[in-house]
Amino acid sequence: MLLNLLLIMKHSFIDKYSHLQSPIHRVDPRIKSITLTLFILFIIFTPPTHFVSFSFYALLIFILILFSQVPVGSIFKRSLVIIPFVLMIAIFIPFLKKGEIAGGYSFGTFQLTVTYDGLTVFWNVFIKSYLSILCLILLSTTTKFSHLLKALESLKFPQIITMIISFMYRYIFVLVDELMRMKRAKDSRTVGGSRLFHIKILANIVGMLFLRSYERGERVYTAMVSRGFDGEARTLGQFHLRKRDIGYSFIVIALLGLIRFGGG
Amino acid sequence: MKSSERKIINIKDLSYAYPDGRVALQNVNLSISEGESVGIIGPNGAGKTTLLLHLNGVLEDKKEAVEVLGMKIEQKSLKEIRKKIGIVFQDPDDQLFMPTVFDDTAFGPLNAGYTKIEIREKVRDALKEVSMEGYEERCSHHLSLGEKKRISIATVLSMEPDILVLDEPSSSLDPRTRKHLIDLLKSLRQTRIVASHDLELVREVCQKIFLFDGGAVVAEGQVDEIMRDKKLLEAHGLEIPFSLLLEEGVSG
Ligand SMILES: Nc1ncnc2c1ncn2[C@@H]1O[C@H](COP(=O)(O)OP(=O)(O)OP(=O)(O)O)[C@@H](O)[C@H]1O
Ligand SMILES: [Mg+2]
Repeated sequence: MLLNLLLIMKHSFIDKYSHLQSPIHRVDPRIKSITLTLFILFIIFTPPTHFVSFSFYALLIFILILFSQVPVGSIFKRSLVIIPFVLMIAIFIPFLKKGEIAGGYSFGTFQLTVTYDGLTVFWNVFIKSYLSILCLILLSTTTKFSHLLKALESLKFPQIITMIISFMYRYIFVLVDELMRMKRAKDSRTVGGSRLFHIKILANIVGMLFLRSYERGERVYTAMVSRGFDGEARTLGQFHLRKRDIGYSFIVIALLGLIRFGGG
Repeated sequence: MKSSERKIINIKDLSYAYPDGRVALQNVNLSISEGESVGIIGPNGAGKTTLLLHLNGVLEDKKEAVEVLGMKIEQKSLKEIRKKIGIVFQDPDDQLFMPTVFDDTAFGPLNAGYTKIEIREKVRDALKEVSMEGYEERCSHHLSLGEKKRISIATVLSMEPDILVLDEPSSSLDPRTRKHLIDLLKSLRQTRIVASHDLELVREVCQKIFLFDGGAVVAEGQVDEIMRDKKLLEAHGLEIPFSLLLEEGVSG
């Protein structure tokens, strides 16, 4: 079940590989975020027919992944999250009727055709989203989550957003635990009964969860205020840019430029 | 006035009802001297936590009844008071709300406006005091309960408060962790206020006791004086601590 999945994720998912000590892990998180964002922008603004550029982008990501020492298999598994989105696009391809027909099926009187333009649209979406997601996975598997938050903060990301993400990271499992406890308590007291009965109880539990979460929020706020919180979140920037970090980002940017514009 | 006699907390005739109408405190009078270590004991629902919440003005009304370090609790003194009085709440999941131990321990000093170097120093000292050095980069939700409790105390020690307030510090700790906690509390020099029904802990750590029930102070006195009063304790849902019974048994 989804809940169990969340609990398994608790100790392994988000920060599973972020403690490794590869050259990529050691790069300043701010530089890493900026460089990989740039990378994604390059990918997005490359015309879909520049197949050579895309192969080199893929090669570059692959090399970065190798350097990062994160198992390639696990990155591949995580990258599968885009499949539903790509499928969505694929469903609509046959309805793009413009251009030369590349092939088709006929079901009696109903004809399904795919045009070259349609295929290009599909390729465009697929390759760009896939390479971009690889960049994001590389960023998140090689950076501690708390560092990523700090990086966003020091890059002047809106504080309200970083705070919400930070609370989510801290409390999602506390709330999930609470839900599990309530569900267990319910299961051990309700044996038998109709399905409707169970659904009603479940609805109660969900209501309870909202109430408890709200109260938890109040208590956390009290604890924050007690330690001098006045509405402004302050954090200590802990990063020191080193020459190596700048060097790293320039190498990647140079490679990107070369791939995108080098071919002429 | 001798400094040890200075009243650091003065509460006069404090009553409080929660917004839903539940009366949690009734005519509470209590004062605590500088350097004292005070236990607030009483059964569940006696109003211990509610009292602690009044000490730094996080509950909205009735502020004028409470005086901390000679200051009435009001808008302009709040910042100063919250810097001087550190409250450790019962549930460490409420106390530790930042992504890492370092961020949590640095939260108070950051709000107080110290420089980066000072903050780092304070965090290091506070974690050392609770023997949690090297935990700076750990995530709070991956810590054991005992570790969380200790870090919770560190988050307040880093503010170097004059008064340290702890709500149920020993709840759900295993015996060894609890022993560590008692040693830690004994070693601190600040004025300490401990709300708990762990009378053994109160007996070891505190000199003076206020016994609460139904939102009112029903007894106050020196630790052993109250703890020997079997009738009083049992009337308010508590028991004479075992260690005391043992000692009496040996001596008598
Ligand atoms: N947020 C709230 N809203 C309404 N009533 C509350 C609230 N918090 C506490 N109370 C009530 O106020 C009374 C005093 O509660 P308080 O939490 O101060 O007790 P306590 O002595 O800390 O108990 P415990 O030993 O269980 O922690 C209780 O009757 C409780 O039900
Ligand atoms: Mg309480």
